[in-house]
Amino acid sequence: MKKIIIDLFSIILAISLAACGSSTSAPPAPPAPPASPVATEPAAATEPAAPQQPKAVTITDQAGRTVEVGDVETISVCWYMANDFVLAMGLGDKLASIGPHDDFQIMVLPGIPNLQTVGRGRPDMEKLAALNPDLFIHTVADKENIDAIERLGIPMIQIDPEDIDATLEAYHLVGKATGNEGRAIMLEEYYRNTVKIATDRIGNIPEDQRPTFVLLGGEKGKVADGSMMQSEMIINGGGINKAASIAAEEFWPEVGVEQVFEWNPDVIFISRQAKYTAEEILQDPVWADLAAVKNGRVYELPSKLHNWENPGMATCLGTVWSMMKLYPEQYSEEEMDKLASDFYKTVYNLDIERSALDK
Amino acid sequence: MKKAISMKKAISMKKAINMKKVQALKSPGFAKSGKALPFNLILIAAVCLGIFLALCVGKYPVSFSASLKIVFYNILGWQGDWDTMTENVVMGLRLPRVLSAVVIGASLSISGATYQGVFRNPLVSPDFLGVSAGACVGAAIAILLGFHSLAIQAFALAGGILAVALTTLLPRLLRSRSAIVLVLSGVIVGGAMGSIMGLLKYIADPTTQLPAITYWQMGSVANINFRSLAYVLAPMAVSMTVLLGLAWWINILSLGEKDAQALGANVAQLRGVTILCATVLTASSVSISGTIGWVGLVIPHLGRMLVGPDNRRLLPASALLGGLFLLFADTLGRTIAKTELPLSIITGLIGAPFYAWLLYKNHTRLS
Repeated sequence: MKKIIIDLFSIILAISLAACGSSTSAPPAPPAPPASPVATEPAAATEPAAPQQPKAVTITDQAGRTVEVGDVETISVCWYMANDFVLAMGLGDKLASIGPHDDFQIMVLPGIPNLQTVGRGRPDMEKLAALNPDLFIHTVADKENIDAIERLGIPMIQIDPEDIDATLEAYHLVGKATGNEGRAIMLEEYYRNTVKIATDRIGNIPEDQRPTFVLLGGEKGKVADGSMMQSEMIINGGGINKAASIAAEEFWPEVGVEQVFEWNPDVIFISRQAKYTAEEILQDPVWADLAAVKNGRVYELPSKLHNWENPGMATCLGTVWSMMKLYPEQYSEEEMDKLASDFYKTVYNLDIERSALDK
Repeated sequence: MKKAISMKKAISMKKAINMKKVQALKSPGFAKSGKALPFNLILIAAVCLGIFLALCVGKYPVSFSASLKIVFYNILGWQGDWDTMTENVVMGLRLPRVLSAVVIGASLSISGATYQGVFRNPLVSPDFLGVSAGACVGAAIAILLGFHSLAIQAFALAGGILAVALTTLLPRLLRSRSAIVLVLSGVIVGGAMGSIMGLLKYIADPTTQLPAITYWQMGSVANINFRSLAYVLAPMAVSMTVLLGLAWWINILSLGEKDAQALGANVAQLRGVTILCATVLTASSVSISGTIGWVGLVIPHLGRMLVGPDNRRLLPASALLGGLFLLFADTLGRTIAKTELPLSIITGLIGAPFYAWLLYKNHTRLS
C-alpha cells in the first residue's frame, strides 16, 4: 500500500515536473572542459566509503551534453550494453534497475533477476521517475527521450562505445560521475596492456605479410566493414580486413556471398550473431575452394556465455584471441586460457575457466 | 424498406449480369487458347533467357562468355577446364539464388491470382489470410529458440499454415460460409499475429536475435541453397499443378457463391482446396525467403491486362511473369551497388508505381 502511494506520488511529481518542464529547463550551460581520460583526483578512488561532502561533478558526456552529477548511491540502466559497463566498473551493488540481460551478467551479479526494470533499451518514463536514481546511464542512440529524462531532473550520462577509444572514455565518464576514476584508469590500463600482448608479438610483421580476414555477420553475405568496432578488434590482432573499404551506413552491410568469394580472405571469422556455424561453411562443397576453407581457418568468435565482440572490456580478449587465430605460432591456447581467467578475475571478479565460457 | 427493395433489385440485376458472364464463359470464344499459347511460350523463353543472363552477372569476376560456357557445359554434362572456384560461384552460388527467385516469384503470383479469383477481390494478396504474418511468427519463435536455418524454415512453414487454419476455423465456428467473414477473420488473425510478432521482437535479444528477425521479415533470396529449396519444391509443384488443373473451377468461383452453386460447384469444397493450395504455395515461399511484398498483388493484375481474366490463361501467365519479375528484382538488387538492396525495397519501388499505373489504365478503359 505504502509503495503504491509512493508510486502514485512520484507519478504525480513526474507529471507536474513534465508540465512545467519547458519553463524550468535551464539555459544552455557554459561549455565545460572536455572530459579528459587522465585522472585528476586519483586519491578519491582509493578512499572507498569515506563519508564525503555531497559535492557535484560536472561532466561532458559522449552526446556532448553537460551534466551535473551529485553523490551517486543508485544507478539505473535500461540498456543491455550499459549493464556491462556498470558491472565492469564494479558498481553492480549500486544498480537500482537493469536492462535486458544475459546469463553471464547474472553470473557476475546474482541479484540481477530481482532488480527492477525501467524499460528495454528505451526508458519507461514513469518507472524511471518512480525509481529516481542518482545516475542514469543511457545510449546516445536514444534521441527522443532525452528532453523528458532531463525534465525529470535525473542526472544522465549518454555513452557511445562505437570504437575502442570511445569505449574506454565511457568507463572514465562513469568513473568520474561515481567517484570511481581509479577503477576506470585501471580498466583502461588493463585493456591497453592486453592489446599490447597482441601488438608486441606481431609488431614487426609488415602490412603486406599480414593475413587477410573477413568477419561474417548474421547471414553469410553480411560483413563487418571498417567502421565497426569488431573490425578494429581483429585489425588490432594483426589482420587486414578485406571489407574495410565498404563504408556503409548500417552495421553489418550485406555485400553478398559472391563478394566474399571474390575477396577470398586467408581467414574467415564468424560473428556470434550468425545463424550458421563454422562447421557448416567448412563442409559446404560450394565454399571448398576458398583459401580459408581449404586451410581450415574458419572460426566462430568466442564465446557462447560472454560475447567478446560487443563493445566493452572483453574486446581486448577478442583482439588477443584473433591474433592467436591469425598467427597460431605466436600465441598458444594455454596462454589464452590463462589470460581469460585473469581477465574475468580482474574485471568481473569472477573465477571462471575459458573452457566454461563455451558450454 | 425501400432500401431493401432496391438491394433486391441490385442483386437480381447483378445476377442477370452474372448469368451473362456464365454464358460468356460457356461460349467457345472465351475458352479459345490459340492466342494464349504463343504468349506463354514467349514468356517461357523470356524466363529461360532471364535465368541465363542472371547467371552471368555478379560480383565475382567471371566473364559473360565463361559463365555461359559453364552453364552449357553443366547442362550437357561436360567437363570444362576452368577452376572449380569459378564453377562453384556460377553453379553453387548464383544458380540456387536465381532459381529460387523464379520459383518464389511464380508461387507468390499464382497464389495471388488464385486468391483474387476465389474472393473476387482485386485488392487481395497472398498474405491476407494471415499466412505471411503466421510464417513470421513461426520464424521468430525458431530464432528465439536459437534454431538454425532449416528449423527456422520448418517453423515458418508451420506458422503460415497454422495461421490460415485459424483464419478458416473462425467462420466455421460462426457457422458462416460467407467470404466476407473469412476476409474479416483473416484481418483478425493477421492483426493478432502482428501483435505476437511485436511481443517476440520485444523479448528478443537486441544484439543477436532482433537483427535476425528483422532481416527475415525483410525478405531475401540471397541465402537460399539447393537443400532448403529442395524441401519446398515438392509441395510447391503439387499445389501449382492442382491450381492449374482447377483453373476453370476458379473461373466459376469468381462468379460468386450463388452462381457457382447454381452451376453445380461444391463451393465450400472448391474454395477449401484452392485456398489450401494457394496457402501452401505462399507459406513454402515465405518459409525460405521471408516476406516479399507486392509480387502476389501486382503481377496477377499485369497478367489480367495481358491475357484477360480467364484463369486458365491467367494462372500460367502470372506464374511466368512473377518469376521473371522477382528474378529481375533480385538480380538488380545484388549487382547495382556495393551492398545488396533488400528485395522488398525493389519490389515495392517497382510494384507500387506500377500498380498505380494499372489502376489509371483500367480507369481510362472503364470510363
